[in-house]
Amino acid sequence: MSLLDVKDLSVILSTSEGPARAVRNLNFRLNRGETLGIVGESGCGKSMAALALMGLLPEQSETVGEITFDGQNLLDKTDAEMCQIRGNRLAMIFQEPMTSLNPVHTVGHQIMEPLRLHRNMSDNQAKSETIRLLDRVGIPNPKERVDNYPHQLSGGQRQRVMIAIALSCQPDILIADEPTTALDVTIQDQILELIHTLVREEGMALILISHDLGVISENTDNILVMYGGSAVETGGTEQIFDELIHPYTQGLFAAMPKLGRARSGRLVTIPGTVPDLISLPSGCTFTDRCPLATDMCRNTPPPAIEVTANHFASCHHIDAARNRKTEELFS
Amino acid sequence: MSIFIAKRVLTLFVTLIGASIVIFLVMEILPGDPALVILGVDASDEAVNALTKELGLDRPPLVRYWDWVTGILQGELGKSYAYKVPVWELVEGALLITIPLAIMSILLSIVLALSIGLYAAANHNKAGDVTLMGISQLGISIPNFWLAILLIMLFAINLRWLPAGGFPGWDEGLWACLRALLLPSLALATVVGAILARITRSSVLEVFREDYVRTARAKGLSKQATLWRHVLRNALIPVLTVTGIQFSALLTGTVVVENVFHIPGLGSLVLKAINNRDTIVVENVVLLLATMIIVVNFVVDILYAVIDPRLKAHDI
Repeated sequence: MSLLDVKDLSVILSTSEGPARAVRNLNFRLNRGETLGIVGESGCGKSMAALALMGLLPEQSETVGEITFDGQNLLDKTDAEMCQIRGNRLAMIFQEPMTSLNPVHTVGHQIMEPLRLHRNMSDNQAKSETIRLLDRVGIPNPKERVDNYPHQLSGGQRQRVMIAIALSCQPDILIADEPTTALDVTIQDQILELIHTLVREEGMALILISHDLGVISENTDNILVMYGGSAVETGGTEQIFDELIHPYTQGLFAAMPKLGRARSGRLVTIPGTVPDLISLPSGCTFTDRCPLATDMCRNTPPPAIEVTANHFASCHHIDAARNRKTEELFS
Repeated sequence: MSIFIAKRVLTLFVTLIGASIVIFLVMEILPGDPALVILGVDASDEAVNALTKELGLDRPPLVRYWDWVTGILQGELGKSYAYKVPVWELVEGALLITIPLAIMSILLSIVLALSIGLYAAANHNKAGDVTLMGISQLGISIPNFWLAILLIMLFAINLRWLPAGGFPGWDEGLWACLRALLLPSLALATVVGAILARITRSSVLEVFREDYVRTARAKGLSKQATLWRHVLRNALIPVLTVTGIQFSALLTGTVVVENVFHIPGLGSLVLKAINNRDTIVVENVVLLLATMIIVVNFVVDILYAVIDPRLKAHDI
């Protein structure tokens, strides 16, 4: 049995213009110690899916489907029961380290909180554990830093503190939602390296969410590509990078600037913009931007087709997509 | 911290000097002769002149300003023209009523505001929130003197629980005085509390949308625990600002309610003094009020730094 088994997960947000399906019929599994990358552009529903796992979606939303974690469906749990799981067995790191820490409490206080809550540690135990954690995430002088306020730390250090908080109770799954997007490029690598090392050493499973294919490729075993709230392609990281199948995955890859490429050419883009979640086509969500789209795509949801073992793509024109090379499809 | 305080003390003195000049000038420009008011319009010119001289009002303004200011520095406020008693005697009694009244009112307001505001925010857009916000809108709209009359009718006349007015003096014991101040402070606190409750609610709701609140929830804190440990302190800054302003207003502007309850507070004293052209009393009381407001602002500034450590870093 998988540690996490997500079945037909949909998230419907109620907005002033009507219900918006931010996540539609998402399916994936995660085993102990495994790493999964969820990739897609802004607004594709990847953060919403992560918040749904944590049970932290905004109040004006509805989550349907099944999220089976360690044999129990999280969607059946009350908030009080979820509080026992959040921060303890499921932990999350967010995109904005600058605003994710409370400005009026010391970082030590904020790391000690889950330790006292889930581990019932005394103040002294929690403090020495906090110092150990700060050291573990690579903050120099942890004994002094423990009494610092967030504004006295840099963005990279604050993200390290966030990681220390997430790590504090040795969770089974760490969800990292764009953990490096708000940081300098030089710091990004350090933070990813840190997450990578910690996940391996602590034996945690990782869900890494990013719009950056490079980040995903280096840090995950499996990939789930999302577009318009649904998974368009899933599979092993190597499998997917060996053969990009779905037209959207191909477009995403083609749009990546590549080192060594002549500067004269313009960057490749996927024409159009991210679809409006309220008026998505009932069929494939990528229809309006897909060079292969036909009327069938618009009206019938594409089935997930297993191209090779465990490599699925949801496309009506899978053969046509496979025969076209990346560059051709979007040039 | 010491530089922070030194800066504020310096500002306090500069502001007081400015305030004293403005107060003195306004009283100079204000028409009406104290001697004429004391003696009545039928008094002879000689008598008026003699009294003017006796009160020292024939001297040039600059000399009188200088005497006033140096007097204050020596702890000598002068004598009331109308009552012939030292100004301090008049002020002391009034202060001992107005300050406790203001403190009682603001404490009541804060209790009202925090309980209503937090409850409403925690139940955002639910029936309780809508009802409480409707009531608080009503509270803001009711003139406090009218509410004071209603309170007297209910608690003093019908139920006979509390006195309808007057003030026994602190010699009569703490309990008697608190009873006398309860209805007036309730009348004042309703309006102030309603304003503060709305600010508390909107401030708490705003902080609830912050990223660090999501972090707190992701740690496994319940909504309640998040509210107390992460939201409240951050939400207090705007509440504190308005509390400071409202407290200053309570110290200086309670005259109408004081009159409804026949309480000889500072507001009533200064109003009488203005009618009597008792300029020396007016000048001293207004300067005293200015000092109190500056001190209140000073305390609020220090509390900001206590609540939010970032402010300390900027100011020092």
